[in-house]
Amino acid sequence: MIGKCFKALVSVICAFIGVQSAKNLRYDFEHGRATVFAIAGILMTITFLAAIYGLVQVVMMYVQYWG
Amino acid sequence: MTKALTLALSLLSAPAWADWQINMNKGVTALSREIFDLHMLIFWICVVIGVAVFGVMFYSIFKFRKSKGAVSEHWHENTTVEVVWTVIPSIILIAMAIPATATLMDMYDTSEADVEIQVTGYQWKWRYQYLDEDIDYFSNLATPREEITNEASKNPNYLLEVDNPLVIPANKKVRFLITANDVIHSWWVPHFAVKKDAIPGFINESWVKVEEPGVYRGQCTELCGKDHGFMPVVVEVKSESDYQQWVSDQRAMKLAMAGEASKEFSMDELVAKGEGVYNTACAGCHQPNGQGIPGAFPAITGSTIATGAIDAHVDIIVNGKPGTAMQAFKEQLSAVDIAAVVTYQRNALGNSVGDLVQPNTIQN
Repeated sequence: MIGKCFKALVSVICAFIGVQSAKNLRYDFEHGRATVFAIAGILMTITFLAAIYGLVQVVMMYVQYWG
Repeated sequence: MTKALTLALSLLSAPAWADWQINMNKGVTALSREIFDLHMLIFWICVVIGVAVFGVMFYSIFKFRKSKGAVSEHWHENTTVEVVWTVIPSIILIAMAIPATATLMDMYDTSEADVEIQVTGYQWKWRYQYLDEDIDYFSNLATPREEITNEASKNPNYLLEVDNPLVIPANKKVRFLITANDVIHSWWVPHFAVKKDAIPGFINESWVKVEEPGVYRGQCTELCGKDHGFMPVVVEVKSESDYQQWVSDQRAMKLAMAGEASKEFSMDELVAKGEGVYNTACAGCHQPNGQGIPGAFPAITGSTIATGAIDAHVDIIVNGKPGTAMQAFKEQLSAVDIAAVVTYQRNALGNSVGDLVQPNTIQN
């Protein structure tokens, strides 16, 4: 189960950067469950927003030295 | 052959290129140079990426061409390559965001200004109000009409000259509060790297700190109606002492104008003065000959207002006519100017009513 969830999460991450192999795609459609993908998608969206926020903080930190 | 060679050589010569500037201005402020440097940095990053990507592409097209027996490979994906070409651009974008954010933050930092000026766009002129001084005036196009109508040769500052330039001190931080009175305009001085929309009901901010005294020219850069191309921006940067002198001159001029308003003028004086006011403030719409533009701007010649009751004539100039292009001129013209232009319109441009109005009547 954990393995399947992990695979779903990896697939969602791949979707975020627009990269996926045909083999994994077939696997997901044959073995995956929609709910797991939906939850992984929501989790990744939250992580993505947090990452953008963090990134802005990092850029702003550099800006202090730059300017 | 000789012709082609001459042409090629002339293209390489420096003056030809000087006329052919297509890059941004470096400008005359620390901020404008910072913006220029950022622009060049991003530009060269794009050039390197472009050369690399197109280089690989054209090399592959040439090296693996069909005539050399190349056979296409059939495959669906290569995850590693795809990840690499997603991650690398992301890193480049983030790296570019650092200097870009630093420059943007400088551009938006309007704090601790030494001089604050409200810039208001009007159809088709600029108004400059110095918030800490009691200085408030309009800046109108000063290019002679004969140059516009091709009756005289055009001077180098054609359509880039005004009667009252904006005056600011050198080496002082000047903050601009930019807005508009009627439609959207945009205040642009390329050498300052300042271009801000002037929007009715909104105040946009910008700032400048010019190191060297000089005259810098710009234009309205948001299509704002018939005379959009006839409302230039001219900024005169003066040394600190010259600027202080200018400020005190403005105050003295204001006092002199207040004194003039109580004077009695003769018909000839008013008509002579009125002609100048008419050409600056009215001729843009009502035309220099007073004929107007049928269907758009009414004629002054023979108009019921300019030949009717003088009070109504004064009223429409002072308060404008809501719902039409006729502006209220009470903010733009002095009592003397209004008296002069009313008298001029009634006794020139084909009208001969024979009456006049004095500035003190306007003031009351």
